[in-house]
Amino acid sequence: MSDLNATPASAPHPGDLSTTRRRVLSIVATCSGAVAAGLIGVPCLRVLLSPLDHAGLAGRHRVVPVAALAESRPQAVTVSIERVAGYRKEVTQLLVWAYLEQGTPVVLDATCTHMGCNVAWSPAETLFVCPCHGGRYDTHGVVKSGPPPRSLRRLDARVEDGMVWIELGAPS
Amino acid sequence: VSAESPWRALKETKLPAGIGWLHTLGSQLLFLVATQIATGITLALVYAPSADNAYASVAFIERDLRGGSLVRALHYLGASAFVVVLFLHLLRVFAWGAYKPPRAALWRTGLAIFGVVLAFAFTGYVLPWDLRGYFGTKVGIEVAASTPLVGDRLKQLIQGDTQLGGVTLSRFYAIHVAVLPLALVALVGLHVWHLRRVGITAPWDATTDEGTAARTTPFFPVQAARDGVAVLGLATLLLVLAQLVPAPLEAKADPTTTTHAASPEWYFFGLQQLLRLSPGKWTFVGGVLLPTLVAVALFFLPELDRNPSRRLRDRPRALASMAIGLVALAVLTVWGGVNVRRERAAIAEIAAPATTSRGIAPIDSALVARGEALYKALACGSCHDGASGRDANLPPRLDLEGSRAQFGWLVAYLEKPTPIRYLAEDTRPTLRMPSFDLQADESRALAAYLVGLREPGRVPDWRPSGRATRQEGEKLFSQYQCLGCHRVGEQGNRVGPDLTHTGARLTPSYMRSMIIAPDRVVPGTAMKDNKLWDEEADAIVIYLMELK
Repeated sequence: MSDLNATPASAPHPGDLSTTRRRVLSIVATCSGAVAAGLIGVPCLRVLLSPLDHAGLAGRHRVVPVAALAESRPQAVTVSIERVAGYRKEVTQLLVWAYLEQGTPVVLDATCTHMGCNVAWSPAETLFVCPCHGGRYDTHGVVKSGPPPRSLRRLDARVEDGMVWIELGAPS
Repeated sequence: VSAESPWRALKETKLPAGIGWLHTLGSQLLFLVATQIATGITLALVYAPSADNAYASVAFIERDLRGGSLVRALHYLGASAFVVVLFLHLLRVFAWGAYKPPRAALWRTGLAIFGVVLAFAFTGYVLPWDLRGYFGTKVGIEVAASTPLVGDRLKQLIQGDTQLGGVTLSRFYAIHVAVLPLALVALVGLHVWHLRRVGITAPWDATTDEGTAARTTPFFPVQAARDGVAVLGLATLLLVLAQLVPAPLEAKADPTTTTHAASPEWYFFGLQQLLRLSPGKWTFVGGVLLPTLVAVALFFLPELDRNPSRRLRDRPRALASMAIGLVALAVLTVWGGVNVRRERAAIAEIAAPATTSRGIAPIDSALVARGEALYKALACGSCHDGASGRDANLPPRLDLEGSRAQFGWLVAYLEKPTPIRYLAEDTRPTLRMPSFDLQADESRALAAYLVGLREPGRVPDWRPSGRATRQEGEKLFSQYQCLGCHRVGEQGNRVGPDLTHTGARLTPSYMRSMIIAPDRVVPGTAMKDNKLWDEEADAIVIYLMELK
């Protein structure tokens, strides 16, 4: 490649192009290449960036009959949320921990705020324990030890006709 | 370089005199590229990249496809071997000072190849769609998501969606089998092209400062033979290991499990340990920033290390940095590995014995909703109406079913009811549970609804304690003449429920409450309150739990 570039500079021929013309043509070469790449690249880029518009799990979702919950003893519940993921309806299963506090349901998102694993309930420690990096939270989801940066997300829960519902907002 | 025949040109390539076995690492890497491409294509011919089918197709490859598990193990071990050999190659280049001008571009394409190989490892991990792949990938993506400001968007772009799911799998598959292979082949091409241009660095004692050899030797046949033998050795090692170590395949990915300790492949243990050491708001620093800084420093090593000498004794600082880096990496990797084991043991303890009917398995809200609808449609409540509690001839109340029955037993019972109670043969009305010809998924749904019906106030949770023994329980069971009413196998009477399979049917918590305070659990029950001590009840329950 360096050979090709070196030839005209060292030995101009009579039939050579003028400097201006050379510059114009090199601009044409560069720009047309860039535009051609853009013509194909931009549509691809639009597709690549499309996940940014995907909706989250926002909405109102049915959890469990309130009769299934116990006072102060967290019970794991998977909330099945039907949503469109790309080309198909997908049931996303959100795991929550639910219990009653003086008769009122408390629903916590089981997703550890550190690395997104699901926390387990340890009856022995009466703490939520994350299996991945050992984060620990108390019954209210407040961090007790380990790496999590924030409390577990407490979901907006209410009871209607003996059924616990949660209201999920847009992803933060 | 001669243009006539590339093969001949290669044969006649002049190498510096004095190079040896350590210089076969590059050829071994070329062999590993070929291995990964060959085994990868073989697997891709069978693999189905969708969340619904990925696991089944990998399980098929692993269990049923002829030669499938071997090829999969080769691909899996090939990846590990790639990381190991690449690392040794990099160390050799560092020690030789081969990154110094005029070989900076060679060093950089090599580093880029290392990056691509790690990206291969990351994107390949999720493809089997098993627990380790799912959660390992989830953690990896969360690390990227800890980036300030753009973290959430970055996560969404990597996942292709707001959740880690089927869309992510398609994305990772495309990157793994199209984007990265193209990048790898291009980079390897560039790397080899640079190498052919500037040549291999000669050993310290046989060179000028530019690393040009004072004496040369043709590539063929001596070094070619070394390369061949080294590659054959590596291939043999891989094949032997592949027979001994199968590629792991855990249970299918379940986003709701709480008892899986996510861990990456062993060569990421060091990075994972850095993550553990950076809690809370420091995640980005330890998980992203620090590794990136190390990568950038390595990239600019030719500029950072301006010492022109390549002789070991003239490079104390470079060698000290290498030693520190190696020790740090070794310590982090081993430490990380120890922590992975510790975390797995800790969660196994929490996940261990389950006392409620469904154990630690979460309630599935969709299944429960379906079960509730079935409960209404089949009019279960019209027989199990609550008024029947005290009369053993009538169907039992179900308000305690979740405290009472084990989930697995309920599913089987609903599908095919078998008598448990012996009905008194007198004039009282009698009812037997009919078969509703439920499908397996229907009985699961109904059981899921029923086990949600619990009253922990009446049946408190209980776990077997260490002291009571089965033998004591069996003794107490006969001492209190339980067989006077109940039946176990061919012994006992037909007054109370048959206890032959009670260990598979009832929850330990329910059995214990029923022994300690029967009237509190089922008001008006015919079960006698023998006023047992807690320890006596514990022992009897432990005995009953073994009747399966």
